[in-house]
Amino acid sequence: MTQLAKQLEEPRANAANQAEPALLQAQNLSMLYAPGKGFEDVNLSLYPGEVLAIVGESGSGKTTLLKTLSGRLAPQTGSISFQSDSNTAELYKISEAERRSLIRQHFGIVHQHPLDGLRPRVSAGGNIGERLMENGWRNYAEIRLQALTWLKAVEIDQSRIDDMPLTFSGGMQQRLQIARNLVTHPRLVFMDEPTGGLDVSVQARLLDLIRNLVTELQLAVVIVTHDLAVARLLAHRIMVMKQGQVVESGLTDRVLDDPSHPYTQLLVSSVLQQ
Amino acid sequence: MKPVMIAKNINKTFVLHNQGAARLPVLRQQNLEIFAGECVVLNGSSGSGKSSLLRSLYGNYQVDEGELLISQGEQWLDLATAQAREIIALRRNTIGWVSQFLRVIPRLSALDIVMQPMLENGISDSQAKAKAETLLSHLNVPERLWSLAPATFSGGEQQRVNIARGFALDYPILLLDEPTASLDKHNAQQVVELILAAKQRGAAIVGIFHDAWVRDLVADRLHNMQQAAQLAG
Repeated sequence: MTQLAKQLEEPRANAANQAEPALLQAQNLSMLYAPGKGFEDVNLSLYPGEVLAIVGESGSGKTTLLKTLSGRLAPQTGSISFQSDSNTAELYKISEAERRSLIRQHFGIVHQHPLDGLRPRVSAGGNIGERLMENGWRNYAEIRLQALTWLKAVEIDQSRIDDMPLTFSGGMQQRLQIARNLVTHPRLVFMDEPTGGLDVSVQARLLDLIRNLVTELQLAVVIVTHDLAVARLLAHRIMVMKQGQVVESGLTDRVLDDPSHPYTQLLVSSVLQQ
Repeated sequence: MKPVMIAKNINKTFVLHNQGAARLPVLRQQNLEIFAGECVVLNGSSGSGKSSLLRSLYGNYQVDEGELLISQGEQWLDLATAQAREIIALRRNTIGWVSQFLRVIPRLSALDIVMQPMLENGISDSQAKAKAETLLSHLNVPERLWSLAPATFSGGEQQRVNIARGFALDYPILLLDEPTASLDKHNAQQVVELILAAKQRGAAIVGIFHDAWVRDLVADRLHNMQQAAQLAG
């Protein structure tokens, strides 16, 4: 695992450094398909190394918000700025081509259904290598070596490098999708219910893996989940959504142990005690 | 001498929106100053708000009114209004928390759990490992368990792993939530030694202790809880 961190060209800044600018900043974001459908007036800042969970029930607008934050759905109002190196880019003011290039270089997007984020009929190695080639890598031997390193990092047997993702189990496909996203060392990763639809034991393994990679690579992550236990394990901060509105946000353990909004109280009290 | 932490006029009421908006006042006009090298024990009957006050000092509960000032060199940071990331930074190296409950992280070994706060603060792997091993042996966690994930440990073993983790770093402020509850006398004695050593190096400690003998050994003074419900009357 430590080799992965060593591959980074420069050590990433410490998340606790107060002077450091936000990586992603959203102001007054709204995108409503219909009243209460979508999201309204969202403000947030995300700093390097910080994990933010967006929680809420189905239809609360969390996935729509994630699409907008990750540059895949223009909002009706509001702005998002992304800070890379010393440049600030307004995500929806730059051209389509510039936005695509920014996403390719700096963002990772992990879909709920792994096959939405993988090429099912390209080998596992090819799935990882493709992202490197998009970013200008050309040396086949180096690309294959990277693919092997990342298969190991996500705990997939390296002998499976030439197999199609279609032959993988759901948990393996999800881990491959994560490898494909992290191989280019993005600064910011968006995850939509990454553990949804997996068995509990497979979930635990995936969560542990995500947790390690996030710390190791100092990734900033926005993760959408309806599972409060996932939020508690992974996230520093939490944002609770209901019908398109952010009803409560703050430190994860504060929101979950001392919820103040009626909806958050309902969510927390609905979880079965272990 | 300047206090390390000051709690001023702390009020907190729980409002249970889904239970007829019932209001439960838990903290009323709490004032507390904590100095380096002393252990303040929160004293009061069950339900008097000891645990709520301790959790507020950690930023785990949000107070309704009042200030929670933490000394930061010449300046003070108010925990009651601080941003989430400021609280996370404080917890990394300034305020430590020890409770009897270990939140198990799947697949992480006992040794890794204890080493984690040290590694997060840039302490080298070998130093962190040595300190973790010393703490685990001090707390009588059998060596054969160190490389295993604590999910299958007994309650007492999990608790001692958690205590080792809480004492791994020399936090200036330590909050102890019944760390000796349900430990046998010998192990509780080992925890008392850790507390006394932390005081010796200058830690400011606030704690809740169920056992009177433990309290008598570690406490420099008692903070008597006032009954919020009666005061609110």
